[in-house]
Amino acid sequence: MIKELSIDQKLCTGCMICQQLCSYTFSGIYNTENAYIVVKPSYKETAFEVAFKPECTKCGICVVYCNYGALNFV
Amino acid sequence: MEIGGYAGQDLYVDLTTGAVKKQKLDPEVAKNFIGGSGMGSWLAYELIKPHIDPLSPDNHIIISAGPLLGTPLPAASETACTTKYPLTGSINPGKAGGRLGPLLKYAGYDNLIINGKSKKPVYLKICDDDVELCDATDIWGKDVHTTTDILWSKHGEEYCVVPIGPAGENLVKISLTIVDKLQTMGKGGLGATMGSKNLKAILIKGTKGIKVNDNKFQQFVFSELRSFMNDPLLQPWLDLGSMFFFNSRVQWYHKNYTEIITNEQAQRYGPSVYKEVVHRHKLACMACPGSCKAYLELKDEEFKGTKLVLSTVGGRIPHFMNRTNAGSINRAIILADLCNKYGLCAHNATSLIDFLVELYEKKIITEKDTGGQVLKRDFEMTKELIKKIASREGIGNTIAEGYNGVIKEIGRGCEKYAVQVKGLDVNFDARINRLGTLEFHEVVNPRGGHQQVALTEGGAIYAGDSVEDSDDVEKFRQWCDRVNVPKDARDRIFEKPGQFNVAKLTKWSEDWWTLIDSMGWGCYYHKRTYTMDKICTAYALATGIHLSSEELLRAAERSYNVLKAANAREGFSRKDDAFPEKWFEPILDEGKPRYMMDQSGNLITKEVVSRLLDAYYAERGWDIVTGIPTKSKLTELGLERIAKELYPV
Repeated sequence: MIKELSIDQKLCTGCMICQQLCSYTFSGIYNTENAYIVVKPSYKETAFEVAFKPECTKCGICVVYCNYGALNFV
Repeated sequence: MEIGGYAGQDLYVDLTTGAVKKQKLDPEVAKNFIGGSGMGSWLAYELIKPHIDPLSPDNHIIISAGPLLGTPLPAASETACTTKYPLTGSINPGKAGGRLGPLLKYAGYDNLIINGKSKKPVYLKICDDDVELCDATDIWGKDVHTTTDILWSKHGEEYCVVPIGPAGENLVKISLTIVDKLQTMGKGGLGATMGSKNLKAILIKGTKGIKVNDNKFQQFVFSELRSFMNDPLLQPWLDLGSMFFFNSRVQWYHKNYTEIITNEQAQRYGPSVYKEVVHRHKLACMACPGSCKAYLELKDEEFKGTKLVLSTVGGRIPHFMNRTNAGSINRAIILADLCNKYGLCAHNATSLIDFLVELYEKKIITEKDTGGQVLKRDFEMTKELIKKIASREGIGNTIAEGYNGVIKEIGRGCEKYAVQVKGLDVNFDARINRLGTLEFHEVVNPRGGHQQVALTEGGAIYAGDSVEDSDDVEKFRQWCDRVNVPKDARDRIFEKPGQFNVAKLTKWSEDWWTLIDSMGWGCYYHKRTYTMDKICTAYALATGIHLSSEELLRAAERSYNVLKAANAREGFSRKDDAFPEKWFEPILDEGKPRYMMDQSGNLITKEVVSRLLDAYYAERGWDIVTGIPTKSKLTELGLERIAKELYPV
């Protein structure tokens, strides 16, 4: 069963480790542009805005290594 | 150059002609200087001709990203910015975390080198191979945050934005830049250097990414991330960010370094109060799981609901509370934010204000010198002075010139009250926590009174342990183990039983941290866990280049000697490695005099300082009379050409 992933926007610090790990997993290169998760500065209600792209396979590597609890399995 | 980790080319931009040049990275330069601050020092020696005016088109801004940047190795985000800094006239690498270096690598460059001067205000926009100079007339005059918002709105938040504020535009020598509204960069006047070039901002976006040589690098990253996340000290650190350091007393100096604030006074704005009046949303540099920065929402009555972004809160709050008597934590935060918006260095500004207030209180200067301004330490005065410094108005014009300028203008022996080295205020006072490597390095650092490198005491203070832990010589031996300091050097450092020679240890600390900075690895919190084994592994897996610990330390030593040679060419020598006069006087600690002492509790006199400097230069293999690298040391490091240039006869 494919797990669903959730985002707590308030907890994202903008470290972008999720993007780096994701891109390497799927393309063999560290490149935030290739990642299936997008992290952008906002500094409005939250500091960053995070969203999964449709290509996301829900592998969960971003969840495992998010040190701030911003990403979770549902 | 097809080596992992590195992007493989440098980008040169001439603002006078608009010319853009791309040059392949020389693999030998990479092995000799690694990258980051090491490579920045080498490029600075090659490109910045001696005795040029830092505010002239001839000055170069060199932004360097080490081979680990762009990877998620925890805290691999330290980017170096080397230039001839206007405040001090010295050449040195400043640093910043954040996206700058990683995105420079993703765009395809290891180093970005900017020279010349544009005829009109521009911003430099880089996206991979596309390099543009864009009209900045509409944003000239705008503050740092407004500029960033406008440029993000125009070009997208994928760009890292590094602007200057009004302080840089007005060539204020204590101006700097701010990366993505958050990380400060360029203490010593980088803002003025950019302003002198009519360069309002640098924007970088990259879509090419970075490859590493070996897939095992990713496994190494996972292992480091797990280690980071399982560190028992991580949670207390994340709770407070850089306020974690607060009770180490390192920044508790008060009234221009004449007193240490009492514990009772300090706790009125310490961590427990901080948590009550501020809601902290953690922010981090790219690739860093150890957030030390914050998106703050102020909760007190005066500023309720105010949101702002701040880096190194743990440094800013003590500076504004102790040096300028801001009155409350949130008033201190508001003042720090004001400095950021103007693109002004909060360290320099608070230090100079504190210094001038002492001169005013002692009637060395009067309203005649201040343009009618009554100087005192409080919130409103500081707010007013920050604006005047940024706009070079009245007394602000004097302060804008930094310590060297203020001392020159005022004279009257005021220099003995200035706690600065080479024109830059010190961040750590050797009388508070004894003369350690941090404090000694502030004096011998080519940059001036700045902690370019972190401490060596096993991170005792920074891990929140008591100050007394730093007296434990065993911790210093353990540090030498972690870093693979050679046995003969350890014999010299620990020559006397139960003691260590701080000067000799500083040499190895400097080389170690130069290596870390050259790699691009950095995190206030996590640095204490780095070992030479990890560095060797990380570098080999990322790049495919296998260098031993000796070779890596040698590369760092080479970088440090090139940097020192560049500054020797500018005329810096032993005479400039001068302890502040106040350090030889006592500082009041709960009403009692506290003197500068070594780790064993022995008084440090001028004679002791002279012997320590001798020991430091000897450990470095430098001339102990001049304090600069000898011909034989430069030759030993493979820098024969530099040796001939420094010693033409």
